[in-house]
Amino acid sequence: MSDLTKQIEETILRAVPNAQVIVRDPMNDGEHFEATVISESFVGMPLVKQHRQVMLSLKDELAGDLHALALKTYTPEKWAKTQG
Amino acid sequence: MTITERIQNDIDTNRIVLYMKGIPEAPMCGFSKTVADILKHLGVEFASVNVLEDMGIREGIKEFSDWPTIPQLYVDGKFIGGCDITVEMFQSDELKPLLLGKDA
Repeated sequence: MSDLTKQIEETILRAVPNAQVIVRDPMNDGEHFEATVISESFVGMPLVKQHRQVMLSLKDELAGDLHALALKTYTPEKWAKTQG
Repeated sequence: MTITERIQNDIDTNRIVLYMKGIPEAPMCGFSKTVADILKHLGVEFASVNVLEDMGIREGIKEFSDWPTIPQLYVDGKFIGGCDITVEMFQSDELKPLLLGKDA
């Protein structure tokens, strides 16, 4: 796991209480990342607020090496559905 | 006009505004392209602002929306989201009614 991958994961974990966070660097370029964040705290929260909470926590990273983060946020219930 | 006033004016005078890198015909970033393509696919008219041509807007829109990345989509003066949210709303068929307005 690259340093930035780890840093993104830790930053999101600090911003979203009790979250499960999966961060990937699918192109292995250290710039374009994917994150999946699952948290009970998202229940009843509009999608835009869920994303804003995660994205704003990464402001510093986004101003630096993190060029792009494809983000998906789920409540545990919604996540369970995607897992079939 | 201040940057904030310009943004407010843009989203007040155009129902749909896309802040993007490049222009819809020649996007300069894959995420901007995705959102522009979805809007084109749905056949709605939209205004676009190329943030690469204006550093003030590029940074100003991030403050304005409290959202750290480009693209950003506004409909009826309201911030909708960036690329991921637009794609998700498109896939769940929520985007089209929003873009067409409540009378559609």
